[in-house]
Amino acid sequence: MRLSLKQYGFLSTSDLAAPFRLEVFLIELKQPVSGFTTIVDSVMRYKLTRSSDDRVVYDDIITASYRATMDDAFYGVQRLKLANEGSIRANIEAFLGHLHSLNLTKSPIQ
Amino acid sequence: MMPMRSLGEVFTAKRGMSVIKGLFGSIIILIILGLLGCAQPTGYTKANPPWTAGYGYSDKRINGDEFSIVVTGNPLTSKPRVAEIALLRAAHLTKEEGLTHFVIIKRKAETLERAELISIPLWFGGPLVPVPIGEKTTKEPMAILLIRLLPLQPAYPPDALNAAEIIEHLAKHLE
Repeated sequence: MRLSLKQYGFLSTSDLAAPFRLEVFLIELKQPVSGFTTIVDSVMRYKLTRSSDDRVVYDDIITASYRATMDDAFYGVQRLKLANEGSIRANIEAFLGHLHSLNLTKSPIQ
Repeated sequence: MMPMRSLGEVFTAKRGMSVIKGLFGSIIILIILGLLGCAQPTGYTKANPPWTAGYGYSDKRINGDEFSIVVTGNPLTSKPRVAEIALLRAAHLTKEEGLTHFVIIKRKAETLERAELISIPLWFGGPLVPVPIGEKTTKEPMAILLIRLLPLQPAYPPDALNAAEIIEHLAKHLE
């Protein structure tokens, strides 16, 4: 998460100077028991609070899914790993999209 | 007078009987599992045990007095039903924590895609073995609820929900 924020220029270099505080909660990672196609769904909550007055400026649940097939990995455990990572990545990407729409100044988050 | 059977014949006959019994037993188990797992919509049940196939509710404390509740229903379950199961779980959770009221912070309804194996039972001399022959995609409803438990107080805010009232209203047709 920190890496993604940093890549997109949202991560503050100093925790004290950051005007916003971000809390991320992994609510659920829905994994299949078996199957040739492995679909993993992630449910995450993102809560963004303004440090100056503790006002919550964004609080939402984002769901994202990722489908890993036999072409991606033949071994089931590896396929599940790929699907887990893909689902979390898609979730963070969706949140970053929302973050862009909030028109925050760069490097504001701790 | 009936001819005496050799030891080999007796053994073969017994083995034949045990094979039939095994086959019969496997069919009955498959029928029971099929009836239990697929014939009706998901009820008010925890999603953790393996026999629920992940259908039902799960909850966790996420931040102080805030809890998340996630309900996934099988393809026969409607979206309003999974939402009701989530609400009923929220009410039970409130009671389990020794409180009476809660507020809903967030709610979300989703439809998940699930790839399900299609298998046929084949007999290789013992119990029936399910052999996968393909895959189908099914749609499953999911309800997500984020709640905050309210401490005991003389008067509750207007958006507070009474756990006892919800249990009384929903438990009849969900439990």
